[in-house]
Amino acid sequence: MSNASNTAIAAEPGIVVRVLASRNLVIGLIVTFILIAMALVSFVWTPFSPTALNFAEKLQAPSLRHWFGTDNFGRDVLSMIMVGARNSIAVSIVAVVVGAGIGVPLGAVAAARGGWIDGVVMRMSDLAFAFPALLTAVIITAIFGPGAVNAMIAIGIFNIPVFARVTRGASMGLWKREYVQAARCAGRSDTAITALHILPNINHVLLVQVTIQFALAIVAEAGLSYVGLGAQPPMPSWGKMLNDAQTFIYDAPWLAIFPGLAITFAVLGLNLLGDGLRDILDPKVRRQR
Amino acid sequence: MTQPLLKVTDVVREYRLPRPSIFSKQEWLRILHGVSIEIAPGESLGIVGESGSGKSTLARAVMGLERPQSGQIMIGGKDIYALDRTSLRDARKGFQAIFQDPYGSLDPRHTVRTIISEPVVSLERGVSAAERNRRVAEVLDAVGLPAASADKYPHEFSGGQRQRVAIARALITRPSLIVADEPVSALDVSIQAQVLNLMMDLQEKFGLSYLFISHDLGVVRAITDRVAVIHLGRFVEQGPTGEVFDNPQDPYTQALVAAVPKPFSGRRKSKRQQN
Amino acid sequence: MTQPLLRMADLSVELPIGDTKIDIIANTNLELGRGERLGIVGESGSGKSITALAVMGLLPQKMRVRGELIFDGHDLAKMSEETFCKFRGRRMAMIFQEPMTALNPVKPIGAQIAEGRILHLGETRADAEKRARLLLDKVGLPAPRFNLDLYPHQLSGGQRQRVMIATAIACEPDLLIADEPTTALDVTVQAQILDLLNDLIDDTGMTLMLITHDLGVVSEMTNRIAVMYAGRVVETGRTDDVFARMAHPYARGLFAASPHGAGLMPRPAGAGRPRLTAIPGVVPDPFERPPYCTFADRCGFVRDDCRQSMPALDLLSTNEGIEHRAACLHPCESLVRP
Repeated sequence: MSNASNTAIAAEPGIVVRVLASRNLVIGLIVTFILIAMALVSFVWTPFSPTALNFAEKLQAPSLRHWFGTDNFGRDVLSMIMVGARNSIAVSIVAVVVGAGIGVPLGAVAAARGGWIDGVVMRMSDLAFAFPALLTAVIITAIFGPGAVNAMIAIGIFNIPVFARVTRGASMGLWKREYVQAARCAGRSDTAITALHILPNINHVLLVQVTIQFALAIVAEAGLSYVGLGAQPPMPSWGKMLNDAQTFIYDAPWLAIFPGLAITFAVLGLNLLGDGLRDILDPKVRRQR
Repeated sequence: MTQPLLKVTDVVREYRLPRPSIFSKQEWLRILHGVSIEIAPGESLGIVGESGSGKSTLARAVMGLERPQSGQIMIGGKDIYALDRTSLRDARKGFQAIFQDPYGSLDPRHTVRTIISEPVVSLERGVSAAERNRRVAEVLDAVGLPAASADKYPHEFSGGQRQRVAIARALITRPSLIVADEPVSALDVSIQAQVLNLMMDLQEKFGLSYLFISHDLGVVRAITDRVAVIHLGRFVEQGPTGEVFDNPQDPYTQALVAAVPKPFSGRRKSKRQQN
Repeated sequence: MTQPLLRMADLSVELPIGDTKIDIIANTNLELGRGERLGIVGESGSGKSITALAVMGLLPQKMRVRGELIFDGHDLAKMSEETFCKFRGRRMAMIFQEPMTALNPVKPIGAQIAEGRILHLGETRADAEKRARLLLDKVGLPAPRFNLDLYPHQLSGGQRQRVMIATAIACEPDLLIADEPTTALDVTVQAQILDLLNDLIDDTGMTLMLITHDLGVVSEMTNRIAVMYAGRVVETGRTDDVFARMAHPYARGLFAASPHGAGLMPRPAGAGRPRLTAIPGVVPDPFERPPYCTFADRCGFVRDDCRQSMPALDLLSTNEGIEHRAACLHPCESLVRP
């Protein structure tokens, strides 16, 4: 290998090397992969049917037959967690897509136009921030009725101001950059500049925010279904499992422990993924030398 | 006399000051107090001034980026702030810009080819990809960069080379006027000389006019035919570069020229050697 | 001759990268007597700022000093951080390029100037602030317009640089290091700050180490100069001698490329614009410096033997007890100006 290419590698290691060098990212990726794999596998196979009632085997402690035990209707907890992952992920994906899909354009327009448009967008997001996020979601589902779809929309709506703020904050600085001025001298419209020069330069910020919002959405979904405003029976969901477990907390603690662990595991994994992505994507962290 | 290429007439530019509260009256800060200049085809005019003098504001106004509150900016006989979108796009082919920061003026996510061809893509919609690539190769050659540079990214270049890329981008629509805002201030002296020489060569080769903004009197002296000294938003003196710097008339210009440290001046030394 | 205030003997600053080490500064030999004014000139990457930081003990974590760095009989290279703290700010002080970032934005200027005297000289706050008042007067910021309770953001760039100077000279240091002190300032303000520094140094007899890229500034401010290129001193001597001869082709090239050199000379009438004498190529990357003369690949006077070994800093002449040395096998002979 030539000398020049050696130094090029020293200066900017390949993507694989950088990914492996970040422990956060590796752990985050593994956890996220397990979570998604669990949800995907549940479509074709679960140890038992998550909805079939089997009173003969109710409230069994974890065993080789039922790894995570069974609930008061004899349903297999592991199977319910696997199917619940499906629900958590679906709700979170939709919530993040709704939040980013509306929030990013709003933030981008606010940064590009400034002035009163910026003022209106930011005051609206202040207003949204003034209500605690979970409370907002509770209000929305209370108005439109409980259910997985409304939970998705509710969580998505409180994601909008988060994405609007992050997008606006990250792009404001870029609008003063000289390459943006150069693009304007080249006759580019604000929309073209946003698409070609602003968003590609803030995608690392947005990607990190997506992982964080995803984790928060999982918690929010669990919260909503815990109070009965999320997924409706017989669809299993982690929050609902926690709620059902309350009655048996002393007799069958595994009913609370395993869904709780599932939520912790998912949130921790996604946060590590976000930190790891920031480590390798953010030019400021990356430029250590 | 031939028609001037750039004619700036009585340009006033004010900025909105941040209001202490939403109920207080909006205050404005006047940066340019009605300035007028002209540049003939093929001529280079230097604007010299200190920070806060309004020289960069004037540059941005001429680049078509910030509409002045009053006054006219005519480029090639057209008032650029009176044009509709399509005509402005057409007019922009005639004037391009070079900026100060060789690290900030190139989008780090794009290849040099994308960066240099951006004005063509945006301003000359009918040009084919093959023709665009031919023109990229042509301007890269003109600024002294190898054709292979086109597929590299900005971070692979040194400061001086990046500024060459920025110059290539300004040349690709074959403009007659280039507005250069402190184009060599961020460069080391030896690289600065290379870029200034290149700009002079290109000017003679393509018959360009420069509006050259700088705080550095030496640099302005090297590259411009005429110079205008700006102080607190007004021109205090204009004239042929040599005359203004050798024999400044206005007290501010005199102070400016005298303040520049010079080798062999013997200044600040005499006192020391007596001690 | 008395002992010099500062002596660098074979001083190198190394930076470990992976398994290898590279020398950011290589084998520098410099002496600075009491009351002298030394200018260190160079472009970015020449190592001039690293030299200053090495003397102040403020090098970035990873960098290590090798060789001798003797300040008034103490070897700074081997000094513990604890002892160094007693020197820094007391015996030696530094002025930075950007006064906005070098001053603490949330502390009044009076407290920042007084801080050193309280810390190093054990003065009471009242005494130290009385002293701070005198210092502000001295740097041209008189009361009542410039009170001690002002904050940095209430001052202009030039005024902030004056506060920096007052902070630096508060403990009457022996050595004042100024790293590009006027680069961020307008020319007219630069002239005022240079005048101020000039007068202060004349009055106090401080030793000055001035780091700059501006040949005009060194020429006016210093009596001794070291030109650095790619981590090495390539020419040093009395400022006037070095300017008169510019024995090293890099020194000559830098001068010719500088618009002060060509630009401010009267231009021949009607002859069109003369081109500047640019130095071709770029400063070699610290990772890829050649094992021979680092300037050979850009040099207009290069000969075959230039690419065989690293030239030593050879003695050319001695004038007023100051040696004129250049690291070139074929130093230029002709005088630039009589």
